[in-house]
Amino acid sequence: MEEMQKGNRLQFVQDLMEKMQNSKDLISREFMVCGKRANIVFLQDLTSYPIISEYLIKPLLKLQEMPSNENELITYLTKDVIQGREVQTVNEIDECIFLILKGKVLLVLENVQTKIILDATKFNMRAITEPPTSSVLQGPREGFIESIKTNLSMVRRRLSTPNLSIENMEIGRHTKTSVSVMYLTNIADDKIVKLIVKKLKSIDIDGIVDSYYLVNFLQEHKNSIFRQIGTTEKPDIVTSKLLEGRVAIFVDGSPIVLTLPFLVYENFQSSEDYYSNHYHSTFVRWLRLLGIGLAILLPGVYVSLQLYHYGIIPLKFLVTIANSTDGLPFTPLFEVLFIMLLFELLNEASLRMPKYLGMAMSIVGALILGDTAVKAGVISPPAVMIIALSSMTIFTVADLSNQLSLLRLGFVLLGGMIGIYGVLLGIVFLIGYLSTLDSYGAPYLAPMTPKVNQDMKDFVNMKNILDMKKRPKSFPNKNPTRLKAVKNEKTSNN
Amino acid sequence: MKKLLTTNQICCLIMLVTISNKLLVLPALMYQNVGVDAIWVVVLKLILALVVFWVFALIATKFPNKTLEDILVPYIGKFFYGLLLLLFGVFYFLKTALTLVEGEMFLRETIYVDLTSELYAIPTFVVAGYFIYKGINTIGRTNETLIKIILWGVFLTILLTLPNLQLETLLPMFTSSADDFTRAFSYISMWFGNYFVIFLFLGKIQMREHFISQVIKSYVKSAILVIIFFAVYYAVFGTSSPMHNYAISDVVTLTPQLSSLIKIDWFTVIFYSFALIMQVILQLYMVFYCLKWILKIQHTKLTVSIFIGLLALMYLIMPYSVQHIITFCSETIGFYCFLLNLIFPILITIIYLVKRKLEKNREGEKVYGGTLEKE
Repeated sequence: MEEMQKGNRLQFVQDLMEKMQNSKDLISREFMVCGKRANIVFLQDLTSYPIISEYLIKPLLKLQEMPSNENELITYLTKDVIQGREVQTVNEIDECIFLILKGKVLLVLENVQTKIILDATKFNMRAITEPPTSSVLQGPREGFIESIKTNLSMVRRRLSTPNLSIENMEIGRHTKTSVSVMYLTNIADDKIVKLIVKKLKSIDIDGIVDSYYLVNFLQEHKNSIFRQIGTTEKPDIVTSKLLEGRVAIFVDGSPIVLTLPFLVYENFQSSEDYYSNHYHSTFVRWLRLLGIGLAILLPGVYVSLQLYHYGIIPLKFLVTIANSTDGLPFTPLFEVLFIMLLFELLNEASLRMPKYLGMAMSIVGALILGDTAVKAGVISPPAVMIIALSSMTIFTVADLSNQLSLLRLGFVLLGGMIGIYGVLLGIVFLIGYLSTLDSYGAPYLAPMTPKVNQDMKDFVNMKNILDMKKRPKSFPNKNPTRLKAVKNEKTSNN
Repeated sequence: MKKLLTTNQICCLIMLVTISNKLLVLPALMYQNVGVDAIWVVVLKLILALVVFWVFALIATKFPNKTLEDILVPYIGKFFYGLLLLLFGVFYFLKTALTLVEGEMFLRETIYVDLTSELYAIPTFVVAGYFIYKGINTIGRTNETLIKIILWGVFLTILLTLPNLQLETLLPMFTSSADDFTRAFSYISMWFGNYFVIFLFLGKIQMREHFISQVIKSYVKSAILVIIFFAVYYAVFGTSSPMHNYAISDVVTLTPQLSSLIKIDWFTVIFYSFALIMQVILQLYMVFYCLKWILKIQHTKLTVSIFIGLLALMYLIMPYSVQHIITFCSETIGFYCFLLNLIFPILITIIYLVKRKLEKNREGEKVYGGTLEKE
């Protein structure tokens, strides 16, 4: 620091290099500017050399004379000489290091205490494509990428309003990851925004690698299996959530954007619902709900019917099931648990396997393991069918698939140990548990309970967008009106 | 004070207490006493409850921020308030026992031949314990979600029985003596005395516009469903009604359209089990609420666990028979339950009237005594 005050260029550069462990990709180049020695310091892999050359070195080398006063010199250089996206001045060595690590170039002049920083960041990023987790038939197909700036611009392009506010911060002692909180100042509730920003600023962790790292810091019930924070890869979804009064959190290096507050019914919603006929959307939402029911309850009910209540099964089915299960080595409970385990293993393996092996995996799983196990009399065809149906329906709400898998296991155990009454108790407990959750003051099960009539228009039975005149009431917002008036002008005389 | 229940949640709780546990052994039990006139006994009981709910709604709007304790203690003192809570604690304890044994027998008879008391009671008490610990907010929200399934289930049950109705079995009516009628009226108080539940929620409700009419509408809807169910049940079974102890499931077993395909009484078991579970949870919560006030204990995991553990132990250890409990609840204490159920509504109404009169007198004094405050 002493050297910095004196403006000793060489000592400063040496200290900086030492602090950065003399990293091999850290470049320091010396040159003369109007008879004054200068150094530029930058990280080779993070900076664009053409930018450095074009906007920093060339203008400096062309200089004939410079002001002698330090303040005037710095002002002159930053305003009139150095060009580029972003030019700033720094005094502290730690700040210099931080900015160099962000891909910026440091200019150190002999006997000048203030240092100049030029943004020369090199962007290597993938193209904007349709996100694999939320492909649609209708509607926008662009998805977020790993660059926070690009992601912010994608939303900014959709929301041309001065009320769109972005708060930036850096999280992670080592990673210094850029995190942006985006909201509409005239809609989002101030208390929620303040609370989110406060929580984010209080995070003291070594590093943030992905937006999921923030989830546990932000959600209020940390040990719950149900996530209380929305995630999306699509800018159109973030835009619509911001318009509802929610807050979006962007993390550099992650294509997943977090949205808050998050309610359980958002799991049933898809961006496509709003781009198609609302009757069809209602039908699809009911299908998703049915899918969830089948996914978590079907195996449990099957086990309980097999073990305790076979009287409910119509006689013809009962005979078929009895023939299929005759001579099996496992009880129905263990049989179902065994098939579920097989499925989960196959699922996990297929996710991690290279794509070209996927087909082989399917053949091994479906034909060899499944078919052979049935033929060998280890498992029965009805049980395979039940688990297959349940596993298929789990993915009707893909975002909840992890939670549904766990719940399914719970209901199988309840059905196996207590019977159908256990499954019913499990349902009551589950609803009770979900009703204790909330997300930033918004009850998790709203608008179902507490019932919010206004928000029921966008619940399972979806209404026409013209009927959704108000913003969701389940969580607070400053401006409740969404649709002011509908002019009902007819285009024909009929 | 934190408002714990919304208007809709109160309405749903009213619907739950109106419907639950009236559709199992009660129709058969009443038929034994007064025949088809049981329908009119139910109608009268439900009209009385309507008056009580109206009083509740009125008091809730007049004293929006006052709990039952705030209203009663200044007039009757803490001792008598505690005594009343004790009586109601005992009442709900017995009612829970009744609901539990009815539920257990219902499940055993309909779907679960091998059901043991342990297998039934322990998970039920564990789930109830969770809800008691979480409080009335969680109970209200859960009930708000499940009540639709329960109501639609009862409605569907009624629809399914329509092909089997023999309306002539409902006639002749009014053949029972006044004595039988009065006795039946008081005997069934244990099944009808749920309306006290909502008085404990005074001062904890987020009231919206037209609160009174919302409460009355919800109650009337569920009461009509109960009356229609009783009529349908007697119209289906006629003189054999006393033999069908599990009305809600028995009433659909004769439906020819579906019975060849599947045993359809199972779906009634599913939706009615929800009603019974919620009923047990609510009643146990009431017992705990009364005990908590009397013993001045904290609402913690430990106290709730001890409470639930003791009750579960009592349920499993104590020798009882369903018939004994039903006879005790109807013939032995039925009349006292009837009186007990009226205490709070009458007390609150008197207090409300006295308070109103006092306020009027005070206003009169202000005007004529020259103490009216300057504007």
